[in-house]
Amino acid sequence: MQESVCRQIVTVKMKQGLHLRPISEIVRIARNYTCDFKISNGDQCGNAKEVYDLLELKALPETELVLDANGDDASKLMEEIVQFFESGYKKFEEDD
Amino acid sequence: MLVKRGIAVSPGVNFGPALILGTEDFRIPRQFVSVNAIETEVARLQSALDAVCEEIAENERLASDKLGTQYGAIFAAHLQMVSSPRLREEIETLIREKCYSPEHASCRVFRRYTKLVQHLGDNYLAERASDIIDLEKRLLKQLLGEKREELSNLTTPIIVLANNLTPSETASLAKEFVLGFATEVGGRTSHTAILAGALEIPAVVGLGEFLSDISGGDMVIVDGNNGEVIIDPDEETLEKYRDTGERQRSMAARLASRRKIRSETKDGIRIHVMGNIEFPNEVEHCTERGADGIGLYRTEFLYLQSNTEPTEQVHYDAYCRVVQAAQNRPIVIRTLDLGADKIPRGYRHLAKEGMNPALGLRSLRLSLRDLPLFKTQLRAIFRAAVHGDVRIMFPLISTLLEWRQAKMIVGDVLEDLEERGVDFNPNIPIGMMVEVPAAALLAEEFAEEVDFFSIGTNDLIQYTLAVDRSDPAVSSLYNSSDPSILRLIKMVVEAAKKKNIPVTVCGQMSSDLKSIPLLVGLGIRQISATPLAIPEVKEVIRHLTIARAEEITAHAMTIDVARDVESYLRGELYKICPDLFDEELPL
Repeated sequence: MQESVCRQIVTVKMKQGLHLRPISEIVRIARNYTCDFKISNGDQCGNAKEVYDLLELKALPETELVLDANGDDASKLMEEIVQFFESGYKKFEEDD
Repeated sequence: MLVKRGIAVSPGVNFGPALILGTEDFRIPRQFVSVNAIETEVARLQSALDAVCEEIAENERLASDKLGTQYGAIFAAHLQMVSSPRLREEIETLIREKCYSPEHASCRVFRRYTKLVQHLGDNYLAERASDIIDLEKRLLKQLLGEKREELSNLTTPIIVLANNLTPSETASLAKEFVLGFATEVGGRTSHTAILAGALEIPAVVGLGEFLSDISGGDMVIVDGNNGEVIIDPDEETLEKYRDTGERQRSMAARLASRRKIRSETKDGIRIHVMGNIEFPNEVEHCTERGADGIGLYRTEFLYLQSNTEPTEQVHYDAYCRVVQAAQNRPIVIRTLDLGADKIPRGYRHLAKEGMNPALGLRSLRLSLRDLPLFKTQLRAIFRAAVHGDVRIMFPLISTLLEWRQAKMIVGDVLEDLEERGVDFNPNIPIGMMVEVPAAALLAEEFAEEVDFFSIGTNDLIQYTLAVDRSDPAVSSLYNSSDPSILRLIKMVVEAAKKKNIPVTVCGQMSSDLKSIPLLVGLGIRQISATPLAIPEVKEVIRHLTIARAEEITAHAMTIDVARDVESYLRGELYKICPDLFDEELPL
C-alpha cells in the first residue's frame, strides 16, 4: 500500500468540549490503525493515541481542531474520525 | 510556593504535611524516598499499575457480562488511562528526578490531570473529574497496600485540607494529630470554623478553589491570624512562621498568668466574661483562662457525632461532665440549633423542599415540630441541673407564641419527670437567644416572660443585613458594626434593664476585641466569648472605665456607615490597649 498523508479540520460539537468519554473513544479508534495520528488545537499538538495528550488540548465546544494522519491506513482512519466528530460523539453524551 | 487568601476563623499558626480530605481516604505517609531505593520504588509503581490494570479489566469483564457492553466501555476508558505509557513515564520521572515516593508522585500527576479536566468548560464539568480521582484512589490503594493509614488511626500530625468539612469527615479524624484546617468554601460560622475554634486549632476557610494545586504530603502553612494558607513554602517563610508561633505562645502564657485577676473595669464595675463551648472538655479551656462560667454551651455535636439520635442518657452524661468541670460556675445550655438537613432521621424530607435553610425548619422550630427529640434533651437538662448552676436557653425564638409553646413543653417535661420519680431541678432560669430582628423589636414584651436574654450576634447580623457570610460573594456585606445592629442591641439592653433581667452577648462579636468597649458602653455586663479570646477580652475590660466606654458608644452611635464605625472602634481600642498591639496579636 502507498503511504498517504491526510489533513482535515473539524469543529468540536460535544457540549462539554473534548472530554474524557469522547477522548477515550478517539483513542480507541486510533489504536485500531497503524498510521501516525496527531490532533492540534492552535499551537498545542498531541498524539491522538494517548488519552492525556488529548486532554491537554483543552478543546472547548466550537474549537476547531486540525487532524493529521500519516501512514498506510491514514485515509480510512480519517473517515472514521471525521464521522465521529460529525455525529458519532452523540452516543457519548447521553449519560452526561 | 503558593499563597492563598481566605477568611481567618481560628487564630494561630501551624505547619505540616497536607492531608486532602474527601479525595484521599487515607494519608500518604512519605513524600520522599532515598536515592538508592529508587529502582525498588519504580518497580513497586510498575507492579501497582499492573495490578490496577488487572483490577479494571476484571471490572470491565464483569460489567460487560452482567450489564451489557456499553457499561463495560466505561472501564475500557479507565484501562486506556492507566495503561497509558505516558502516565507511567510521568510518574516514574518524578520518582527518579525528585526522589518522590511513588504515592506522592502518582498523586501529583493525577492532580494535574484532575485540574485539567475541571478547568475544561463550565462548572458542570468539575464533576467529571471523578473518573481520574477514582483512578488515583485505586492506584494509591495498591501502592499503600497494608500500610494504609486510616484517618481514624493517624500516627503523625497533619494539616487537613478539604472543600468543606462535613461532620462525618471530621468525626473520622484522630484529632490529636490535626495541626490546622483549611477549606475552599465556608465562612466564619461554618462547621469547620466552629470545630477548629473548639479544638483551638488554626483554621482558614473560604479560600476558593485550591485543592487541585496541591498533593497529599506537600508542606503547608496555615496562618489563622491573617487568613492565609501557604503551599510548598520556601525555607525563609517557614523560618518566619516558626518565630511567629514562638511569640504567640509566649503572649498566651503572659495573659494566662493573669487569669485569676477578676474581670472588672478600672473603676471597679464587674463584667462577667464567660466562655462559649461545643464539647465538655472545653470547659477546662475556659476555666484555665479565668472564665466566670459557660455562657453558651452548644449541644449540636451530640446530634452530629453519630448516625443515631442521642438518647437521654447521652445528653445527661455530657451535661454532667460540663457541670462537674465548671465547678459551680453557671452554665447556659442552648437547646438544639441545627437545620433539619443535619438531623440524622425524620425531618430531612421537609428540609430538602426548602430552598433557603436559614429561613427554614431549623433550631427551635425543629424542636417544636419533633417533640420526642426536644423533650429528650429537656429531661436530661433538668436532671443534670441537680448537680450545679444550669440554665436553659432557646435559640431562634421569633415570636411570643413560639416562646410560650416552648415553655408549655417544659411544663410537660417537668410533669413527666415528676411521674418517673427521678431526681431533677425544676427551678432553673430559662431564657432566650435574641437573634431574630423580630425578637429584638419586641424585646420589652419578651422581657416580661423570660428569665434572661442572650444576644446571638451571628444570626442577628445575618437576618438583619440579609447576608449569608459563608457565601464569599456577599460576605463582605456582613458587618457587626453596622448601625442597625448597634441599635437593635441597644433596644434589647434597654428592655432588659427596664424589666431587670440579665442580658449577655454571645456570638463572634463578643470575641472581637474592638467591640468590647462598645458593648460595655451599651450596658452589657456579661460577655460570652470563645475560650481563646477570654484572656484578651478581660485585658481590654481591665483597661476600660465605664465613662470611657459610654463615651465611645455614644460617638459610635452617631456614625451612619458600618465601615466608619469599625475603623473608629479599632482606633479607640488601640488607644485603650496599645500593648495588645505591640505583640502583634490578631485583632
